[in-house]
Amino acid sequence: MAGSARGVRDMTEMLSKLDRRYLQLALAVFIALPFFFPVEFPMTISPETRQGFDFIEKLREGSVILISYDASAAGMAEVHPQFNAMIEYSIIRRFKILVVTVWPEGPMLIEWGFRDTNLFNRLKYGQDFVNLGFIGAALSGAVPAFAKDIHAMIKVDYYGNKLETLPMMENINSAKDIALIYEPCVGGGFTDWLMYVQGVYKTPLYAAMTAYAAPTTMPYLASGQIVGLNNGLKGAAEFEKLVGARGFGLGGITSLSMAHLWAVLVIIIGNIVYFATRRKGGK
Amino acid sequence: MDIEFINVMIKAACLILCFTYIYGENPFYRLAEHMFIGLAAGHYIVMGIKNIDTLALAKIRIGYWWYFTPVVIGLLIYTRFYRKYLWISRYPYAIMIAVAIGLGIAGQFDTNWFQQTRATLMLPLTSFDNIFIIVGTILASLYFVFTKEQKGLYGRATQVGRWIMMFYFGITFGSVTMARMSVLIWNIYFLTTEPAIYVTVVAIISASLILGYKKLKRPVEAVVKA
Repeated sequence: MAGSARGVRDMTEMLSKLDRRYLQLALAVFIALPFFFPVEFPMTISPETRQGFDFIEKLREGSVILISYDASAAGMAEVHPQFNAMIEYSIIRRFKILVVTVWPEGPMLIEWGFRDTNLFNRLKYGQDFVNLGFIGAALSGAVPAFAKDIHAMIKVDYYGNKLETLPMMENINSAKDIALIYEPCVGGGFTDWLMYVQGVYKTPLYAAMTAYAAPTTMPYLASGQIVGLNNGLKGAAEFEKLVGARGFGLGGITSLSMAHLWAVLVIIIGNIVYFATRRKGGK
Repeated sequence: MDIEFINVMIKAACLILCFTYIYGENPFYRLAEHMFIGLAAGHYIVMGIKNIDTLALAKIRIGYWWYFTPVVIGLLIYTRFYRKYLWISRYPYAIMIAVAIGLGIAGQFDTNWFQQTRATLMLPLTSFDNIFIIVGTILASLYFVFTKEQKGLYGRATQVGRWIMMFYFGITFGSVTMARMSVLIWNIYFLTTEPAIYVTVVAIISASLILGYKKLKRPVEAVVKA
């Protein structure tokens, strides 16, 4: 009995002095394991993603989807899969895709997004999709001007083609001609589309956000100002599952669960060690 | 050699250099940090020039000459580098601030105040969620009434409002953790796929050798000093 008590004490002592770098190494191993030994944890679809998916399911073939990719490289992990999944879904449903960004880094990420999307070679530029690139910074007045009259504000697309030479743009003049604004973003940019487009023209808005921006966006879903909300990597995985696309969302969700399990485990062990040390009168 | 292959290898190498910071401050991490700062500065300059070209110069080139006006107004900002003409730079700033304020007030009022208040007030008291939202909104708002001392029953109510805000902060903290984990997973995934995994393997072997060598060398140095 005394031996086991000493064993617990030694263990507590060892854990309290454990170098934090071993914990970080263990976290990396936890995350990497599912990439080598794929396992799938059961996943339920959250009501926010389901609501958004139900909305896009009702859109008719040929509907115009505006995708505003408002992210930087730091937010790519969560936003990129959501962009790819929506493009893939739009290809299958034969939607017309209009891509813009209000972030200076956006054009580069859009190009990467096209490259990483399955079935992308099925699209014909100018007929099925148009890339307008960077239309102006967030909160600069670019978005309201764009929503009011696209042709008055944008004369050439990202590749330098005149807008009147692109057949798809013939019937797209303002926000009223857009069936849905899909917003993969890290937070900034979303406010512009919400305030100046959804608020004014009532164009449906679907937010596909990073996890740290999602809690502040939840009230807009409850108030009906947005039609759906994909929350971070989990939202990406749910969205991929619903639309039938397979990308980093579904690939990374097991690692995310493993990382969270690891965090919970470390918090519990840390607290046990803390209280055990305090009982002994240590700090 | 394929340029894409070289790109991936450089990306993997830089990522590993950044990860070495976990071990501690070291020259490899410093190298990556300085490269990042330099590249980011260069990237933003190039993107800025490209955006001016796309948004204004490209339009001027195809005949919309009046897009020259915002370019000139924008260039006037640089007059602030000359004391004599500094006053001119106030005009572009005045235009930018006025536009931002005008757009901000119009948009914020309807979107964040009117629509949100309406949605909260219209909630039917049929579920726990809705009751919690309404009561929570009222109590959290009470906490920010600074004209009445927060004591007695009123003080307890504002205390509950404070707890509700704490719930929100907790949820936000959890979400931030999830976001950061996602970034880590994205990068580890990249490092475990071909061809980046070769760089990872080389880095792990090199790190093990360096650390092993340092561990072996330490007692020898101690002996020499003694």
